[in-house]
Amino acid sequence: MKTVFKLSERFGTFLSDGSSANVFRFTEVEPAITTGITVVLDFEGVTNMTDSFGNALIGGLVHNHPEILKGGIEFKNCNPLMRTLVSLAIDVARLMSRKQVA
Amino acid sequence: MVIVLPASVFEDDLPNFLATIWHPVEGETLSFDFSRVVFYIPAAVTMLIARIDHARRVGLPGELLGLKECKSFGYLQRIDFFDQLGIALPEAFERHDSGTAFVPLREVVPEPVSLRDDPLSSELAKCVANADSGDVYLLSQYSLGEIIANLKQHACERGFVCAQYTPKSDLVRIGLADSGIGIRQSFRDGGAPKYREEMSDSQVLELAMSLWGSSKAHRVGAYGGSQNRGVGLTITRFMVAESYGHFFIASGRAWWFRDGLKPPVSGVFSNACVQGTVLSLGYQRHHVTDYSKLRAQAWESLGLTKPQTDNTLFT
Repeated sequence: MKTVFKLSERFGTFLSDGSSANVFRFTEVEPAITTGITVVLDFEGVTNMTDSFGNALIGGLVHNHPEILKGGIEFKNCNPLMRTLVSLAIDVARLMSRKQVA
Repeated sequence: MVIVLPASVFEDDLPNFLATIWHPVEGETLSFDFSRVVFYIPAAVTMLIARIDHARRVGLPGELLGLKECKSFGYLQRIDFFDQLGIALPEAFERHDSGTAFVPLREVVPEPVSLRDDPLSSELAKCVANADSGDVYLLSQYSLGEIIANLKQHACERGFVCAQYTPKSDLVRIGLADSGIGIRQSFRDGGAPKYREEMSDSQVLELAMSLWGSSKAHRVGAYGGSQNRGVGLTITRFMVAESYGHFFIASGRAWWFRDGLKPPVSGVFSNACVQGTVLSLGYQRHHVTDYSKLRAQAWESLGLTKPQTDNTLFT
């Protein structure tokens, strides 16, 4: 089962505010993950994203639920730039996790 | 006390300008003399309005003098400088849509976290890029998004943002200033683990610009873990430098400036203290050629190798 969150409908074409991303992650995405549903973040129409937003939403998800990278999350309709930015956010979360373990 | 404002303020003049407008107030009034003012870059405009806004907020009586003689009076009216201060002045011109020539000075208000789109960064970026796509647009949108979010999160008072493109020099200029609690107090209030009370203002400034330097990066709030990794300012600073642009920041008694890839310069105000935080950044459009590469390079420079993420995550 999958739940799709269409990001441009909530935040517009520019994902900018990390605080908003944090609220969204905590109140909507993480509850879905904890029920075992595969989360789909749909980037259709999204053209740019700040690091604050990416780290709060994607980084936060990966940091709190590292297991989602094994089939629990999908990033849909990413253009090449968004693909790079999503990948960066995931790698930052991994880096942060390693720093905390160390 | 009357502060006589200088005729022009460019990037190199910002420390002296701040020292002038944030000079300790002598007497019980504070007025500003605009009679010599001709040209200020956007950052200087935001710094000035934030200073006047602060004086009015703390109840310091004073006047804005010399407006009739001020050569940029019409321009200041046109960008809503006086309107934002709640001062209604008759206008000797008819207002037209500015198109992408400039965007009026905008107020940035600290607000509780919300789930909504904030179009301000995109609107300003469109103005300076004269387009709503492309590398200059994306870099401007990113920079504005990060610094506006910082102000909303940390200032605790309203601030102002202004952006302009100057065709002759091909320069995109962005300015943002508030007269809120400033960086040191934000670190104090946030209980930032790396902050020490004995740090100088220059050290506090360096900490704010460092990776993971956010005053709130460690906090667990109402919405779970950290909402801020403290990277936005660092990445912005890197991308501006790689685009041979300038980056200026000041708060408290310290300022820091870097012009392109030259070594940064910094200093301390001997007899002034900037209430809040001020930022100026700029770059020439023709130097901004590959936004995606800039973002990746910024992270590589901070110790993160090229993204290694599994492609099966993308559908």
